[in-house]
Parts: sequence; structure tokens; C-alpha cells
Amino acid sequence: MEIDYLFGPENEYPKGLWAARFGNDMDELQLLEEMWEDPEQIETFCHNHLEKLKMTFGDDITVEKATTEIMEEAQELLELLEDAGMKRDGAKLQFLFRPLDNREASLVELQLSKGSAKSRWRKNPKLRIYAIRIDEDTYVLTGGAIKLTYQMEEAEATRKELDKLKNVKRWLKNKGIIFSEDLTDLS
Amino acid sequence: MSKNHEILKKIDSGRRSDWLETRAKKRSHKKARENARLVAIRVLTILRERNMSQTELAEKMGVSRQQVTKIVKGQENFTFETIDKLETALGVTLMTIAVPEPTLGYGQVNLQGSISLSTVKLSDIHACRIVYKYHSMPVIINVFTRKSTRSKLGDVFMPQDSIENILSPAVIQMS
Repeated sequence: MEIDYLFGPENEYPKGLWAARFGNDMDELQLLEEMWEDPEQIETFCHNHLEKLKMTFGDDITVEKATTEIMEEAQELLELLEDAGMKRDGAKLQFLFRPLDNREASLVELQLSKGSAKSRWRKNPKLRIYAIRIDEDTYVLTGGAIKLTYQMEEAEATRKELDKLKNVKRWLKNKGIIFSEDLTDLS
Repeated sequence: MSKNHEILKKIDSGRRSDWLETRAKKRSHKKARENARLVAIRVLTILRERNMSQTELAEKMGVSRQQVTKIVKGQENFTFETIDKLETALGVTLMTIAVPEPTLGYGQVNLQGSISLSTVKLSDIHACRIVYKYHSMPVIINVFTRKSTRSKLGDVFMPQDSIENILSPAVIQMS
């Protein structure tokens, strides 16, 4: 595994967004973007999870509508990520990411974190990006998923993402990244 | 710089991503990409409903399988010719031209009689009548007010020529 520096505010390296790369040519953000921008993959996912989609979107949802909504949300989220990473219009990565565990109130080092395109217009976002918080406005992105269940363990895609988060956290700890008061050390 | 930042610099793979540049390019073609995506989703839905393969679609359109792959991946920069082939092969309409709604002059008239003009969609307004006094003489004109808002001075809609006929100072009373 390696970590690539993606981007950040000018002259503030190493602050900004990093991404894990698991032996591929593409880092986790590139892989995620490729998946979320592929109508064929998203349509297949929606077809295979129509029953769960009905529970979150409502009974009248169709595969076509869900695919369209999810792909629109993906674009919003990627744009938010880009703006936050570059601190455009006062945006910050630590405004976008929240602790993965909703019970955690404070931001700490090596914290498992999640981000979504939640807004006044999108109360119930379906997409998540996952990252480890290293320091102020510094995160290592580990992946992302369409989250249709309450617990990450309940679906294969999010369970896999949880494993990735834990593995990256362990790798970072082994490299010497320190954490002071991680309340829910899941590794 | 914090200790964690120092460590990050040491474990940096050294590879630099072009993600940001790629995003900037994508943002500059946002609408075209969105349309290509919507067409892709529509085509995938039709293929699934008809249990039709992408290879069959390519044959019907008389194009390569690779071109159909580009279409369903939302990567096709459509020409009218390709849209025509796709519509003919599937027997559906994928593209329509929206005809703009008629508009009326939009006048903001205040008690001092100053007027500014712009336009408003016809479907957003309804007709009503305003009586105003011009040099002590009552003048009645038919105007239009925005639906769902209460008509009030300073926010009236009327045909542009009516607005231009109101001379300052005009006192307006709602009829």
C-alpha cells in the first residue's frame, strides 16, 4: 500500500487530501470516481438493490430514477471534495468530513471519517466517502460507497470499505502517525 | 509543522495525481456530460426492459460495439447523426427542442413613478387591473401580477408598452 498526495491549498503541502493506493495504477479516489461516473455500473447496482433502494427512496423509485439521482449526487460530492481540498470559498476538508462514529464529538488524529453531500436540499444522501483524519485539514481517502443500510457491516460494499479504513489506519500507525485520544479505536 | 505532517512527507509515494486538472476539464463540459449520462441511463433502461444486448443495439444502429460502449458509459459526444441512429434503432425520442415560453414586460413601478423593465414567464403571472391617477385623472389599465404573491405597489407586471405609457409621477391603486 502507498499514499499519494492529491491536492491542497498552494504552499501548504502536506496539508490537504491524500489517497490510499492498493497496488493499482489508480488511487482510491480515481477508482471511486471511475465507478460513480459509470452509468452501466450504477444502473446494475440499482437493479440488484432495488428493494433496499425502495426503503430509502420510497416505493415509487425506479432503477432509472435511482441511477440518475445517485449519479447526480456523486457529481455534487466530488465537487465538494475538490472545493474543500482547495479551500475554495472558505470550504475545508474538516467541514466535509465528520467522524465515522456518530457518537464521537471531537476531531482527533487517526480518526475514521466519512463525508457526504448532505445539504439543505439533500437531507438523506446515499453516497459516502471514507477517510482517515491525520491532522487539521489533512485526510487520507480510503474509498467510498453507496450506503443503503444503517450499519456499514450490513452490506457487502460498505463492509469492504470499513475493512479498508481499518487497514489504512493500521498501516499509518505502523509508519509512525500518532494519535492522542482516539475514543473508538476500531483497529 | 506537526509531527504527523512530518511523517506524511516521509511516507509520501511521490506520485502526483492529475485528478484536479481532470476535474477542471470535466467541470467545463458539465452540461454536455450530464446529457450524455442521461442518455446512457435511458438507453440502459430500454435495453434492460427489452432484454436487448449492446451488441444487438450496435448491429441495429450500424455502428461498432465500441461506440455503443461509449454511449452506455456516458462518454459519447453525440452528433445529430448518432442520436438519429440511436432513436431509430430503439424507436424512441431521446432529444427534444424546448420552445421558450412567451414573456411579458415586467415593470417595477414605485410611488415616485420610476419604472424598470425586464421580462417574466407568462405561466408565472395572472391578469388583474390597476387604477392609477395621472395628473388627477383616473386611468385604468389591465396588468398582470405574479401568481402566489399578493399584488402590491412596486411589484406589478404589465405589457411593456403599458409600462412605457405611465408617466411620472403616477399614483397607483389596486382595483
